[in-house]
Amino acid sequence: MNKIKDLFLLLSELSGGRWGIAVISAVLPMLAMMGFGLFLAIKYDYILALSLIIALSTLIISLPLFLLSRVSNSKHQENTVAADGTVEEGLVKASADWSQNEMLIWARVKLYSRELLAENNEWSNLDSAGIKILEFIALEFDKEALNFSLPEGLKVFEEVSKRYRKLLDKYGLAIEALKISHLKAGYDAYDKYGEIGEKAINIAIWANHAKNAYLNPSKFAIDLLNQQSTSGMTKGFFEDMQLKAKQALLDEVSCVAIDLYSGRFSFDEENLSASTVADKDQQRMVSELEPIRIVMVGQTNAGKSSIINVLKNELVAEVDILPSTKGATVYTAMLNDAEVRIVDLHGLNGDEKKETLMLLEMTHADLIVWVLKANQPARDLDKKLKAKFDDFYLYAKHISRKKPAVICVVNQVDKLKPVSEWQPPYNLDDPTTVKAKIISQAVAYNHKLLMPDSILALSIALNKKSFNIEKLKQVISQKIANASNVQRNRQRVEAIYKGVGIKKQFGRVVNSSKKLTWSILTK
Amino acid sequence: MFDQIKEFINPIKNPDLAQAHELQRKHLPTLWLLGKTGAGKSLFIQAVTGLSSVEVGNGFEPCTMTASVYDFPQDKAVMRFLDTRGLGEADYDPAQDLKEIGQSGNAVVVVMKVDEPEQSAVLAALKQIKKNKQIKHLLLIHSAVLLSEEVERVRQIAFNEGQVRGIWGKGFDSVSVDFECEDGAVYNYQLLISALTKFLPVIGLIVEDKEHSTVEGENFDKVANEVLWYAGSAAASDLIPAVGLVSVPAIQAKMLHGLANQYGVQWNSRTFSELIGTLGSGFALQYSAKLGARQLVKLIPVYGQTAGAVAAAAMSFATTYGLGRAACYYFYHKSKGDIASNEAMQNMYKKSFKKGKAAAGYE
Repeated sequence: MNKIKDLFLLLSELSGGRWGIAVISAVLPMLAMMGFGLFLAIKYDYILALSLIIALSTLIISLPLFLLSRVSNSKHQENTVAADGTVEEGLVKASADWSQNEMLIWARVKLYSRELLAENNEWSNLDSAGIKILEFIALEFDKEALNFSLPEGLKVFEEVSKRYRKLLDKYGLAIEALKISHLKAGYDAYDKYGEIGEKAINIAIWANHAKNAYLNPSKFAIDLLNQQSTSGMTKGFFEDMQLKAKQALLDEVSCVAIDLYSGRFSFDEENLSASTVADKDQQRMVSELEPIRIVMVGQTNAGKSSIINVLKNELVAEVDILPSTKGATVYTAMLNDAEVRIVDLHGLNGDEKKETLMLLEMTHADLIVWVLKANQPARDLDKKLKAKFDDFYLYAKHISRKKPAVICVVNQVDKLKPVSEWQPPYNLDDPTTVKAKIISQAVAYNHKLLMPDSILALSIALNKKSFNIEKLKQVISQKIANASNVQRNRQRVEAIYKGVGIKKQFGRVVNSSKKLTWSILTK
Repeated sequence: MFDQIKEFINPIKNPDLAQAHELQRKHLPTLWLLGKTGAGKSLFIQAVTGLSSVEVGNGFEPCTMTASVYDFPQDKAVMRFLDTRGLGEADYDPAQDLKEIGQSGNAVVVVMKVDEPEQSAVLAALKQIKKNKQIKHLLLIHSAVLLSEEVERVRQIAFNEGQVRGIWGKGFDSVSVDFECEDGAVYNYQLLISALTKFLPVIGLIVEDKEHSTVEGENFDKVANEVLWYAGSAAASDLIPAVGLVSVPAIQAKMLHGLANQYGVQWNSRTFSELIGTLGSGFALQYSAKLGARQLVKLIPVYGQTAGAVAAAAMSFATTYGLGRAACYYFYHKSKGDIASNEAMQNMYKKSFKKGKAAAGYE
């Protein structure tokens, strides 16, 4: 059963999910029919006729395919780099713990590793490619490459090997078919006989298929699927699989290198055999997650406290027409059964000290709700703070920090012109009334100015009909998953800066490696 | 003296006159509008001047991108509004603009939206203006007051006024208005105009409520701006030592000539003597003596060039306005074939002279 699951996982990894549907809708009924047919064939003594028909049909299918494979250009090179320069998702997934900058490095190094593979994709060459990748990433982090001792180097290799083995285990069934001797035979044949050798291997594979089809139709179906799942019939299953495996190895090297140079990975000798605590830490980690920390930002009187009251469904935050929130006040609220902490800050009012404090709170947030007053175009304070916030994550020192998502709330849209018109709800995607049009323009204007991750219009005036409260809750809920990752990143970065708990830190390192396999499993 | 009066009666093309007008253009009393973007500066100008060409924003993004000048009234300007780019706008550093505008403004009108306590940019600008000491008059306008409930409004106004007081001190007036009432009117328009009149009386002379019992009054309204413009020109030219002795009578003569034409009255030395005659026997003598004295005062070092020149300009403004007003009354009756009574003419002159003196800021 596990193997079928693995096969299924592999198929969906290789094909971007569409095989899941194929398996459910085509393969299963077929298998059922096969079993039923076989049973009937045996019962009514049609087994000979069935065998003959299968053999014949196999020939009918495989002969044209074989001829086709001879005709088409088999030299066509595998190209995993798409035209727009992005690299397709490989078997190795990025760690959810990484910051946006690290994700960019990850994308660049993947591109780089594909280039290296395109230059030379011999297994024997991969060690030097691995070293090049280490150097590449060290450069990205502005650190000296290979600046570690031999035992430390071995530790790095061990980590790579461990992760790689885990990855191969996950795709076990497919890799089992990939016997090294098989490969060797194939490549020896290739070396000796050139292209003819490769074709001979292909013929051998097809002959094997024909044999399987006769002896074991279900295995044939699976083999055929394997072959189909690669991007072309002529390339052959093994070759493609090998390339994937090589890419995966280089990607694992990149992964470990990013963890290494960002400080997640430690050389602590004590922890060399710490992998047994990994599972324990994984469980501990989940329970350690604090409530998501939402920080409210905005100019004085933009309506931050009112929004908190709406999210809490009661009057807790002091709401006044004049500046009222003194310092930071923390509220707890429930959002979709999850506890969140909402930090209400003193409004922006041009005071630099307060702005610095605000920035500090923002960089310690898991999610930021930025409140803007719709009928107030003076955005200098907001824009400057946003620029400082964005800059913070550009410093080399903060390269490993994950940036919390920013949700902009264009508040008090009821006060936009014409003030007398107010009949929510409005459809802002396709505005028809004057009011809806100006609201959607105001939203677009503020989006252009502040470039938040998401933006929405809101009105929660006391004696008027409210607008978009549900959407606000919905948008916040959507961002909670990302916010958890931001929080984990924040906890870890704080631990690094504190310089304590190296051992615990290692647990997290292992976790991040686990997370890699975990993310594949739960995908 | 006699030659001058003769020249006064038959004006010829006067080279000083062009210069005087130019001078007036440069020295128009200027109201500098200051406030956050979206506070309603452009709306203020639109409301006071009635100019439809003033561009007003949509409320959610900045509209006035460069400082613009609105001369008012447009044809013969007697004053000027300076609409500046809103403060607090993203990516806008007003330091340079403030420095430049500070040179040309005579008084500053601060516009604050009543529901907006965040005024750091405006307060910083005010601090700078206060420090430069060039502008001494400030009027605070609380705009969009109808957006707030009355109880809240009182507190909001008090808060913003407190903020301004903290920088500027006590010496300023404030008025609460709303330029965007549902019916298109301006809430507290009368209060706004009277606050402005206290501030810059010329405004009162222009946008004064047009309630007149007589046809004559209505007629004057039509040419009032022209009279004000001549008065302003005369005042401006009188700022320069000695120039006023020539330019003020020349400008006044031009004004009388222009007004006579508009009333369809033939303008010659007879008409002139009649007009002067109605103003009383002492008028011509007094007029000449005062004008001469003012010119002499202006020649006194330092005092003459500052206080003396300002006083002279104010007096020239008042005499020109008074003369213009009285002349209109005279021409009106003349065109009907009546002769205006001396008493009525003298009263008219005195009243208008006082009004003009107040408008010119001379007490």
